[in-house]
Amino acid sequence: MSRLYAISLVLALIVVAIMSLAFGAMSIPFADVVRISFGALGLADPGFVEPGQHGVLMGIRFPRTLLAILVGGGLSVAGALMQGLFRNPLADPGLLGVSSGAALGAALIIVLGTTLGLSAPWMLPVAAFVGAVVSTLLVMRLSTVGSKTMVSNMLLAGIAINAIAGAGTGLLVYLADDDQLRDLTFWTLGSFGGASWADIRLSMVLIVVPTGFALFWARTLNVMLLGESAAYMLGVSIQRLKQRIVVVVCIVVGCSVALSGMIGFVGLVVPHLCRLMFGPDNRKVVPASLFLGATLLLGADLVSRLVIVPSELPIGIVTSVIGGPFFLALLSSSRKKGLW
Amino acid sequence: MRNVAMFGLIFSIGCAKSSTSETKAPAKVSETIPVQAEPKIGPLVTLGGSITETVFALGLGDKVVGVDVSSLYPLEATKLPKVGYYRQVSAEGVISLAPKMVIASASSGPKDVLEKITNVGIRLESIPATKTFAGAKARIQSIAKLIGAEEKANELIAKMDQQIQGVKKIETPKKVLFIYARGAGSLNVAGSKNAADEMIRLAGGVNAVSEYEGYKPINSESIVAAAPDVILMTSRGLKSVGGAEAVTQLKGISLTPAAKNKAIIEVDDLLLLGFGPRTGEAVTDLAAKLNATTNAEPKP
Amino acid sequence: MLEALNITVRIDSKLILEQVSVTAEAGEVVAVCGPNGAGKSTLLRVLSGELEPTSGHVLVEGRPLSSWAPKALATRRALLHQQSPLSFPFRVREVVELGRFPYTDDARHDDIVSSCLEQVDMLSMASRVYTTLSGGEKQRVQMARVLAQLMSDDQHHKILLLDEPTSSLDLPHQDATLALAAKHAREHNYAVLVVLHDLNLASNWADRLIFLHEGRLAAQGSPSEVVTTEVIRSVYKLDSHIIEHPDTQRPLVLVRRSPSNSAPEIHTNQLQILD
Repeated sequence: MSRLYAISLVLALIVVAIMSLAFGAMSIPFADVVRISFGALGLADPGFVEPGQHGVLMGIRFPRTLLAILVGGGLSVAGALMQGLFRNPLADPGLLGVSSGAALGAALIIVLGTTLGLSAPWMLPVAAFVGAVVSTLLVMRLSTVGSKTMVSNMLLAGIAINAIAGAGTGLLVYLADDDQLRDLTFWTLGSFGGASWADIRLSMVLIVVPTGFALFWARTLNVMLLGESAAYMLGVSIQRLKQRIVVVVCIVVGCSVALSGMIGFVGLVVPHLCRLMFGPDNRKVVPASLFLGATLLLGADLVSRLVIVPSELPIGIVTSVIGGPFFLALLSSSRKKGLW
Repeated sequence: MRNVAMFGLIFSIGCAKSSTSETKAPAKVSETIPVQAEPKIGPLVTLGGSITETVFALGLGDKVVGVDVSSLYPLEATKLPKVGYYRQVSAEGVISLAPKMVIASASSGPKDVLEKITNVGIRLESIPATKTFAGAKARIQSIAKLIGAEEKANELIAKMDQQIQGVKKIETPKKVLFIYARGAGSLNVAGSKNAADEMIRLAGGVNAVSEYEGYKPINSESIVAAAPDVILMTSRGLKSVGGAEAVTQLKGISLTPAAKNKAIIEVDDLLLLGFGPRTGEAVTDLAAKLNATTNAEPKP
Repeated sequence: MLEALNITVRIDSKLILEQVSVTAEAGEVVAVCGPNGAGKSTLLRVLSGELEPTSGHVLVEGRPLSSWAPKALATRRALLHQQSPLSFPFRVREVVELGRFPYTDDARHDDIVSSCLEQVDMLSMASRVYTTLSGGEKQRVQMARVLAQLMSDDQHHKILLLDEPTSSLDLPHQDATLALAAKHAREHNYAVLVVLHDLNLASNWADRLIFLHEGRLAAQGSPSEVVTTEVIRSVYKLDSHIIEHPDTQRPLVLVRRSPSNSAPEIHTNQLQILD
């Protein structure tokens, strides 16, 4: 059964990725999609390429598809790490203040960027990333007594930092004019519309590498579920693990938010879905989250750009509209089975 | 004149960009520079309500193949495919409509998305936003130059000037409070240096609030203190709070002379704040409405 | 073997343990007894290395605890907690497999896990979901996990620390669990240190008993030396009869039911409230 699920997950990602390259506002015949893609990969001579098609495929759809895969996979693995760290299936990277910090950073640039002379296009993602890192460091600092970080304190510190960052964002919303307010709203709802190859290169460093490390911690995460004390008895260096998890979650989520805005729900729901398929063993849940997260976010992006062609729906709306009811249904059915 | 110079600068940057870009930009670019009136122009996508309106007013509405969601006038424009809100445009959406040129409000974006559009060889021209009458006229000329409709533009501008000059000066100007509403919970009042302030001035009124610039939510007490004779709102804003009757009952507003006289003026959003080709019409319309309230006031 | 020398633990200026020294030799079962709040669990946490004592040293194989790498220590000593917060729906077998975390060689894991489950009489429930088990069943699964942690081919001396391993168990399983611990001490030379409330269970299975009272060592020795009316009165403030177990000849404690036996503190408190 597990193996069947695993194979379907990999296949689903491949199918959705191909669909994501093949469909969009501009209709490009599938044969041309294949020809141009193979040509770009250096696998075949593409022959005559229409510049418009080439531009759309290589300049828009490819980076967009790759970014959705990386962000979806990264956010989901980050969610699985958080749920392991907090030993709670409902934990979410937001608990560390990552998203609210990023939102504050983004709001700062959107609203005050022009006034402060910080309006260059790269300032927004940088500010969002810095916001994510700073708020996470604060949460970490506030919840560490001596050389020990208390997870329960982390939760409380996270709530406090979220509230403070939220107040800051609120103040900026008050100061914002109409256009800025719109921008802020759109940013909050996320989009892969601006994905570029530079974004992909950056994600290779800030999403792929840390997520790759996290894949090796699955067994340790399982032991953590026994409780910190029991994990210590089994030889886990608790404090080091906590720091590593927080650093990875912060970098991966910070980078994702910086590049594509806030995309809620994925980090929470995907690991949960994986547990329903594979059970609680993180050696399966973590890699499965990678694939399922990538597939779902890619699918959501596809929906977001096909549903009101030639316009686009913010992806955050799609993930919530699909994810919310789906999650509720799962929750109520698994409750009946007595799994939670 | 400054605007024309700025346009020239933007235009030359645009040209330099398309000629240096790697993708095969159409060699036709140079041909589109209008040597005389009525050259052939390709399909257009317009981003921003006033820009769409201007292109239609210049008689080239039939060239427009796509607009953004803020393009609400004229009616023909609203029936065209939408490529998103002008600050959150879909790159592939624009490209799929195969325009030769995108005429965009300067605040269009996101920047990286616009870049994708120019990367496939589509010419992108950005037109600075304006909140003044002079700016509105300059903008019409800039757009006309892009699409080769200068003659029509001169006609339009002459008509606008005529309309503005026709506004009767009122001896005791009315104090006007402009409320930008998005539901009863979100009432923003126009201070100085914004589109609404300019329109009130052009129509011969006085803005009741001048303590700050732009739009801000202000409290009920400040509204009472401002004591406006007239309350000006956009149609959508008025609808969002439940109509003129509801406005007069809002906290603070209910105590103003405007509420007592039921002097609530409603003007279409884009007409009032867009500074498009209908600005002259909008000013005459607003002035007439202001005068009407004057007449309605019981004379001492 | 495990040695603790002059352990003092002070938390927020409150003295939890004061100058306590205990040892557990290889092959020996040591029971730690005493009233609630005497410091038994704290002592166990110090012995396991989880809690750094305010002063004093803990030595494992003659080396201070702090000098051990966590993984190396994990193959030598295991601790069974009173309770486990595990709330994810693992299968029973998977929970026991978690005990194999310190080892990387995979070949014998399955056999070891099965054997440990069998020893706690849970093999037939190996594929049940842990979170649906009863308290006693969970405790036995955790016992199997702890045994699995120490089971290996290396010739290291193993230290098994058990914190009230029988608290949720029925009578036969209480006895079986202690018998299991004792078996590992005899056959595999484990040093076993077990916190117990049931003095008769301790007396029956331990080679040595340690009484803690208000953070201090009150008495230690073989069951017949320390399970006496005097020690029980001084540690628990309780009068008792001591009789001999007919099979093992070890001392058994019977609480006296005579009026002279002063009522426990909690009763007097209740009376005061009634007044």
